[in-house]
Amino acid sequence: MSLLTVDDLVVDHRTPGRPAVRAVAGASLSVAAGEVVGLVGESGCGKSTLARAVCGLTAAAGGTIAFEDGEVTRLGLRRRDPALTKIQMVFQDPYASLNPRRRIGAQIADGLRTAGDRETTPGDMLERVGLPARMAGRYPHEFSGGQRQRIAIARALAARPSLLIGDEPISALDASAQAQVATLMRNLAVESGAGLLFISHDLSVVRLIADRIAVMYLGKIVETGPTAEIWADPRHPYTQALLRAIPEPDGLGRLPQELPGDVPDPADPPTGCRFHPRCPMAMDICAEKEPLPGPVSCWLYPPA
Amino acid sequence: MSGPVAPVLSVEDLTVSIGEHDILRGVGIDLRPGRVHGLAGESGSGKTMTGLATLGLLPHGARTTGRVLLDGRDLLDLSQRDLNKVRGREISMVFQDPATSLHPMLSIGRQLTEHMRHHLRIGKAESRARAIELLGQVRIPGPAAAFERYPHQFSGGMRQRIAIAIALACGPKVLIADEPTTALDVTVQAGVLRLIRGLCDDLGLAVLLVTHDLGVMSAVADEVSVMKDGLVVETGPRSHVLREPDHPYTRALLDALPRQGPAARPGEILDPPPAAGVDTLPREGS
Repeated sequence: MSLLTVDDLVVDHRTPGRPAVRAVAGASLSVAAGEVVGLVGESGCGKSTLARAVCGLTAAAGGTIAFEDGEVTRLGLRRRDPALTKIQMVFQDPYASLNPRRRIGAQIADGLRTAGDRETTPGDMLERVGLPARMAGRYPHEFSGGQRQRIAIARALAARPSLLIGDEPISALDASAQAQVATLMRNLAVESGAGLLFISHDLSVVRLIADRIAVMYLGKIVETGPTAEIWADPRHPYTQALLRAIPEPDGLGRLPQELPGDVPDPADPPTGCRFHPRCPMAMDICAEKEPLPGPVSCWLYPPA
Repeated sequence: MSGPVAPVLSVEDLTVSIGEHDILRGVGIDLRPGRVHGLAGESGSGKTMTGLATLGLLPHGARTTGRVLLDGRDLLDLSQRDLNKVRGREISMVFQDPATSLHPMLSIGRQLTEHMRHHLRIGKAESRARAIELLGQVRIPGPAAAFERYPHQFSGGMRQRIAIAIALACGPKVLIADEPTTALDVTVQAGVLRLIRGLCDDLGLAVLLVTHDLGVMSAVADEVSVMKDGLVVETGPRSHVLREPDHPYTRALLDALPRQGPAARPGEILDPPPAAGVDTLPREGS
């Protein structure tokens, strides 16, 4: 009973004159209605590419993306399939995602029109995200970053999505606005019964709002599970390294653990398990064979 | 804690106002060599302004009172010309976003040597040798090759290391780091924090670390000051401020953090108390 099922998705970025970069290399993920899934990983691991493919903004080179009863296909030049307008996205940078030359009310009204909603006014949507309705006549430049992201959320919600995607929606915001905007997205999505796929590199925020966490490394999902479980008992060495790197505000002055090495070039990924060159627990088999996909994709936990 | 070491930089009763707004209302901070002083607080509390004010980097029309003493000189009294001799030489700064603080069209080497040659009056070969040494010190792989490269050829963490190398080039006494790890991944952040701590210990640098992240604060700061509405509400050793805060605001900041352990349920923590006026009113047109 999943709202969104991504199965073995492969996405390539092609640049003329260079080998194709496999940004997403066989990732599987599902989001149920009313569920908040946090997708985390270091920058450059393919999180955003996965989100763009789910939205149809980037073509998949392999695998399937099933949404509700249909399949997500590449967004063409023609009108978007009305069924797919149920997927809405909130982008990273609200300074770029809002049209600077249109009043915010008009931009929110686009979403309402898509949903065929004649009763709700843009002002109502603004109130839902905590802004006064009378601001609908203003332009984006009159707002701060946090407010603009709220407007982008209002615009996405106006189309009555059943799946809301946030692609690093808080990383361009001021620190104090981050938790507020993230919590707002969660509450609004859950209230309206929509699923939320929340992408972020900030684990502490994801922990705050996600029911389930998926950890991505170099184009693959290496571990998935309920948030509390992953936090209390991370199993994949990469998840463990990620969590150990978060400094704790305990006043003890302990420096966080560093994960040595850099993320390898996705154009030339390591053989076998993609994490093995940086893994403190690497075994011989790790360099040779890729671990099977599963809740934990690692040779330390062989499938039963 | 009144340490045995005299402060190298003292900010005394600093006020800053822009137009009718009072941004800082009497801030006092002492930085001592070899110590990291953390400055915490919500956005809009004046942390960044405190850092900028010590270097005279305030926006136009800002009025300041109070004193910023560096070795007995009041930096607020210096002319632009004299201040330029301090900036980058005795006090240097690392900003939040290494993607914008480095010049995209100048090579790393150029950006590392320019101010060295100006401030220290050293030659090309000598500055180059020192730059390569610095790149090694901040653990950039292949320092000699990195010297010729451009910022876009480095990852975010590497760029921040380069920004730190640039800040250290002239052997400053004070380093002001304004949210130096906020734009980085946690794994990279860990490396940069270790680097800052190590430099502070090895070079006897006095560091002012501005951050909203109390975890980062706990990891590297020796002393912590908490700011609210342009005032320092609490100052003290890290273990005291973060474990047994005296001020209710510090307590509130700590309580707003997600609990450690599995106790936190998703969605349990609702909107934190809004910072007055920060995100609820539209910005005034500037």
